[in-house]
Amino acid sequence: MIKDEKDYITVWGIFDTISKEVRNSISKCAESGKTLGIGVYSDECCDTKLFTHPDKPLEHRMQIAQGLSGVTFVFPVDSLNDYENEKAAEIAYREYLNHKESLDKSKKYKVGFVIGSFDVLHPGHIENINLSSEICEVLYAVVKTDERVFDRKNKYPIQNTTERAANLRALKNVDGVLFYDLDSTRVDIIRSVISQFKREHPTETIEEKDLVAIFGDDLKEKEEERKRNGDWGEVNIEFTPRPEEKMKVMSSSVYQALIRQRGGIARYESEERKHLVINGYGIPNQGSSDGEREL
Amino acid sequence: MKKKVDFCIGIFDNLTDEGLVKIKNDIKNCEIYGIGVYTDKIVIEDFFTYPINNLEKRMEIAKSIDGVRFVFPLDTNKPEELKEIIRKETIKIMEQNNLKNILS
Repeated sequence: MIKDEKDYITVWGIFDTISKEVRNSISKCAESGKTLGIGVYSDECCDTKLFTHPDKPLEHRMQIAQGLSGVTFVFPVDSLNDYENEKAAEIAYREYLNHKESLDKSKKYKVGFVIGSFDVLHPGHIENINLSSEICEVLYAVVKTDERVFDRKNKYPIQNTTERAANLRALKNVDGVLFYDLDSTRVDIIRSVISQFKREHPTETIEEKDLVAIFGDDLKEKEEERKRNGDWGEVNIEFTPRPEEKMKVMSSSVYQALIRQRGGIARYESEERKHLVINGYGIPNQGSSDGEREL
Repeated sequence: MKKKVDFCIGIFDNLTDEGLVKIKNDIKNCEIYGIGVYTDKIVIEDFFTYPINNLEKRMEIAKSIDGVRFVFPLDTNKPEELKEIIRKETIKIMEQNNLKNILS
């Protein structure tokens, strides 16, 4: 049942096996633009009121629901009664707002930005972006264009500018993507960030001192020197941890080397598909007719 | 006094003992018991999960419960429409039951 409240919409369901149709149904709910909350039926409710036992326990199903695109908050429901579920939704919504408010208050800066190539997005990038989003209310990802990367490293990134930007836009904690062109300077980046923010928040004021540039701490020495030299003007700089041990297994160079070994991204994507067939996900490979296992 | 007709509605994709116990208790307290089974479309669109078993199989599961006299598909989760379907199915089974009594 979908209930259309003032500030939010709620939906309640089982969320055990998620198919494309289920995802599309949720996306349609989220299209209204209102905050979308999901009530997940408890195991007991499924057993004794819907006469079906979910494969996954409630906690797992709540995680699945939380991960669906467009979903803002999730709560358990024990009843098929709309009135009781609406009460639970109201409580969950208030909790979500309180949590959001406390998060926003703890955010030190109005606007932050991270800069990088983000070539073949990996967990290290995502961790850095998530940590960065905790200290600023709005986070932009400034992605280096193909030309800029080639100019500095004498090789093109594996994924082109458009692909890398699209990956970043899909991340929950990235509010916008800007480009770091071949001949752009740090001053240009600062201007772009301010200009983008003003376009999106026309009633708010912003100055350089409201901004923070966030880097991995492997760049601390270099960026602190730039700050001392005045390259960052009044923009603040902060650093996220990038321990050396983690960098050995979770960095762009590691993943890129792996992909180049396998013959590039197109070959990598084709091997991913084969792997899915071998594991019985039913995606047909080019040789067989109906997705049978490949030996 | 026993109810003449009683029923429950659900998904019946994977029935457990807890669900079965409830149904068995309800069956004891009525003369004729029926089950409404939600179609695949309703399970996906209204309960946001993909049923492992299709409608036919799920109706078989419901029908296989000892004491269940009739099973019918439900292609809606709207209360008024549900009431109407259940009303029609109940009338149908009562008529069949009356006819059976007459013939015997």
